[in-house]
Amino acid sequence: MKEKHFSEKISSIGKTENKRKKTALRVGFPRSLLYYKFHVLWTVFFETLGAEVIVSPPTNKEIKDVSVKSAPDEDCYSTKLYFGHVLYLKDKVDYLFIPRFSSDHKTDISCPKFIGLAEVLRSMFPDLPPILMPYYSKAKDGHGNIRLIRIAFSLGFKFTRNPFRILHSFVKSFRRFKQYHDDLYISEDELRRWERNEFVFNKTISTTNKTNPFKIALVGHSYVINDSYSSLSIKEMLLAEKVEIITSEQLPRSVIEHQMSKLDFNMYFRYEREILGTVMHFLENETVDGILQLIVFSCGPDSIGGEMASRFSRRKQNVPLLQLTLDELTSESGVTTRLEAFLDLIERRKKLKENEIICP
Amino acid sequence: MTEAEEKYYLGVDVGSISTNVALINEEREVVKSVYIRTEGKPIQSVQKGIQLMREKLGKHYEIAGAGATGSARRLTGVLIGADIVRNEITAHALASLNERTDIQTIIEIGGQDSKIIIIRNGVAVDFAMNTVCAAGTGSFLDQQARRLNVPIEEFGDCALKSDNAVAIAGRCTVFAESDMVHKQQLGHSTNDIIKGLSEALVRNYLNNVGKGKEILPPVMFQGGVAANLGIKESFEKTFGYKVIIPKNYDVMGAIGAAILAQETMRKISGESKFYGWDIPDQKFNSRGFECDGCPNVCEIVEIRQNNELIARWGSRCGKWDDLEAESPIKA
Repeated sequence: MKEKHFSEKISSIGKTENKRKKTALRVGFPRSLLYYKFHVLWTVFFETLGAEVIVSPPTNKEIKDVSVKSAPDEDCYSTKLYFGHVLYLKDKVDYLFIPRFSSDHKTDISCPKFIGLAEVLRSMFPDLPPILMPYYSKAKDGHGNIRLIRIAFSLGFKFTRNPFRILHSFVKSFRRFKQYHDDLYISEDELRRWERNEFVFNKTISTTNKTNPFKIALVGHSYVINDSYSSLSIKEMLLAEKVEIITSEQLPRSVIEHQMSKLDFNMYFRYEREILGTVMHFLENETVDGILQLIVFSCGPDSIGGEMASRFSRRKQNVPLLQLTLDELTSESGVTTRLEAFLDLIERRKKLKENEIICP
Repeated sequence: MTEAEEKYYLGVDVGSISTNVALINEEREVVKSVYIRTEGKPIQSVQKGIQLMREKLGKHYEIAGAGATGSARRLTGVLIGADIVRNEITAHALASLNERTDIQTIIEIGGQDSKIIIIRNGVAVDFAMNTVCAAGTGSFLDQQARRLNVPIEEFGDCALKSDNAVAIAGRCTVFAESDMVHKQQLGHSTNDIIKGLSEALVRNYLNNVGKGKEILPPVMFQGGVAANLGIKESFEKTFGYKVIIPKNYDVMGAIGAAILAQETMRKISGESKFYGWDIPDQKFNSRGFECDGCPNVCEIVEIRQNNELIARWGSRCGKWDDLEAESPIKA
């Protein structure tokens, strides 16, 4: 639904350009990195302000090719893709929205690349439209609600002169954002019921079937597991095989924090916490048949999270863990081979377990 | 029982370097096997492999099931009419377990792939494959043998003749090569260099593919490189115990595919989809084009048998998977 909505908007840009100039300013969101975490907040905020939100399409080969050509070669694959999305929007919008978001927690931060992106892009491509780049960091600068309101007003006055409208947009967007999180995160109770096979997320799996479906925890950054081009359609492949997937995004935050409290150091990368926490939860509880971890090549936090996950899985070997590293050079056939072998391995392991129960 | 009445299963493994065909009987014993080089032409090599098989056996063997594996498994599956197309990791694990049920580790080093499969209680529990680097695979050895002017068949024996391995940097194929040249210039004997190379290769394998894996005996060593006794010796020296090389070490993938075919046919109990022994006489060709339907610009491949389209793949959206869709290239 949403996809169609966006593409319709994009295709209509050219035709009504003159009219639109007067009515609505266009704000461009690159569909990459933090977009996958914050799209609801941002979209609702800008749309309520009266702006027209234009989102770049899901990553495709064209965007990838542009990205790889234009981005610094040391950036991680996902960051490189951001460049392609920005360049796609370049001539289609009045403003680019690239927040310099660092942290919404008193100690934990997100990847420092997110803070630098806006300025790196501006200096590399001077002809970009003006970039809206609010800075927010609870951990480093003690930012709180007052900062948020100030950001809202400084952004809002670019689109409206009505302060009440800005305030309304601010409240509405955060309310919707909270609603989005309530829908996304499952509760601990739901998790337990899912683990007991009382329901499935994947509608194509018939629950009446006596044998329980394969359950795989798909673990990785939101901007990897939800971007089917850069993750080589792994999610779609699993769904086509009728595998029941739970993602690290969905896991109750309390479960993740509980796992993180077991570490003897603070994993201070906010989004890596959910990745490692999910792996640890399922290694401990053995309620999935396998864990599939998608690692972005040259991602700093992932290099820690990946290594920790593989060490933990060596200590607790009852749930197999497959780690796939993705970048622009990753061949689809290599990924398919590993994924197939992983599913085979799970199937044969499952059979062995069932046989043991029948004839010990 | 005569040969015609018994059931046989055919496995074809088409890898980057070699193409293997194996025929097994109901008891999973290898009747005949063929090992040839792929030479970058998978279609021709499948045909040639089947042809050699036919020459060795004659046409009267009835195929009750056929399986395809290897990196060209999908293509192979279409060419021979396979009942099952599976990845080579599963195939190798099955073939090894068929050889010995108690193995715990499988080392497989082929032309451009190397893998490790960890087995516990007769089931594969973990595996790894080399990722971006082909250092320490068959192709590398091939190339170095050519450079040193030693036939690849004698490469392993040369290593055995030396008892003074030269230290060679094994982290990267390119650096290993320059290191070898350097050692040659210093006047080290070829045998010592070859032995050093074998040890570097084993070290590289264990550091990359085997990284973090718990290698427990019995270890089975297979794939084309298992023919190299020098490498075997280096593995044994590192582990401190013997590694097992199965009799059909070079065609284990094909045996695995045949076993998979047998398993499948037991499950579905029907006729095999195998096209028959006249596959070598058919005319196959493949052609590709770029789809311009969307910005993904997928590369589509078409396989034709006697000019009739029999398979097509490569599109992310799946629109070309439908064989009825009209092809933009003329037959």
